Amino acid sequence: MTGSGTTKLDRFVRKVHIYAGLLNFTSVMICGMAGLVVTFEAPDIFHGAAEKQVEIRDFTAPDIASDQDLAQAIGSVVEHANSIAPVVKRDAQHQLVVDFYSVNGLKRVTVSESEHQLRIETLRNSGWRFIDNLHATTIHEKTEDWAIRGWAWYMELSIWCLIAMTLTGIWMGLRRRSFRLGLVSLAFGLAGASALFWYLR
Amino acid sequence: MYRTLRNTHLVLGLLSVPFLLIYLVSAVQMAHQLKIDREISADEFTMSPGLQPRPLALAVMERNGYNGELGVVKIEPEVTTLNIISAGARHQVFYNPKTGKVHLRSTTVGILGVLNRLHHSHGFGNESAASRIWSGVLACLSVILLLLGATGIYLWFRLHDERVAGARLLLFNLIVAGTLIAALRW
Repeated sequence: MTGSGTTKLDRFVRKVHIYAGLLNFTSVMICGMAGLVVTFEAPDIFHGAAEKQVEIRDFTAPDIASDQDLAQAIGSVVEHANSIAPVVKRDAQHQLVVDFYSVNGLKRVTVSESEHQLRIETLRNSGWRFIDNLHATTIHEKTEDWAIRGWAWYMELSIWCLIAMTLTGIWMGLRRRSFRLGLVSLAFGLAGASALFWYLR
Repeated sequence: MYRTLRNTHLVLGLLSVPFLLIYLVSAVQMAHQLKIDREISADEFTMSPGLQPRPLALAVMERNGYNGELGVVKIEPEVTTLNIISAGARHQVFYNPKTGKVHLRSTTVGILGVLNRLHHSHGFGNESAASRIWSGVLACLSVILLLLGATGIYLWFRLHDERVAGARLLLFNLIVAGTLIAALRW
């Protein structure tokens, strides 16, 4: 978009495109890498390649605590940085299991009330799956952790920046009518996406 | 060099626009928990008795014109249950192998639901060719995103009048994102 045909609006649109891209650069890279991680199915914490650490710790559950209250009590004694709200359930042996999920993997705490112990399993995922989890973090995650909240809001900004970049990119591409290959690419992309969407729905 | 990279950025960007919009609209749906419309319908009909799950699924798909793939199968003495899943629908088939009677429960989702499913569809292990093609699209789109980012940085840097403001934004981005990533990982 250069030359005498460039209007003030064109220059503004280009500025928006550039600034949104620079503000959003890290997340563009992370989203690109995340797509490759899931396409080629890098191992995750449930399918091998996770470092697993097990620790046994003494713990006495308060008699009158509900499962949710007990999960909160466990959360205050077990280190679970950057995790979202715990998932509480019971296993086949009716023992309480509290899962703390984070972008780094899972910390699973199994409560043995009869033995007054916690079995703490830490499954830390690979760097690749960490990137995948980063891209999937959104502002509806229930957490007070500052790093998760900060990252979630950064991803929220990135979504809207990417939408702005897409729309401004279309504007800039269409303004370069002399560049036929650009228009052909857009038409090809539209046709391909429509065909796949229709067939897959 | 500049012209080549600029044209590459333009072509890749325009080619990927529709696919990017699919992922971005579904990202907004997930981030803001926008409601996905669902419609449930039921149907009953009879097929040949004694069918095994896979031929049964194929027969139902051919009869009703469904796309998709076969999900988990559950076999009990009186009923075989299976799911036929596509991006826009889930068809639960309850089949009595003795009588051949089929009770079909279909849940179809609106456009946001289809986009959501497409966003989560990945991997080349799917049975349907269309799903594998979509996975190929995702792989290409991922590489395109990386190329757009890299060429975008070059193109920005070549614009002298945008260097200062752009450098500030890029530095801000790298510091904030880098700090958050480090805090999350270590």
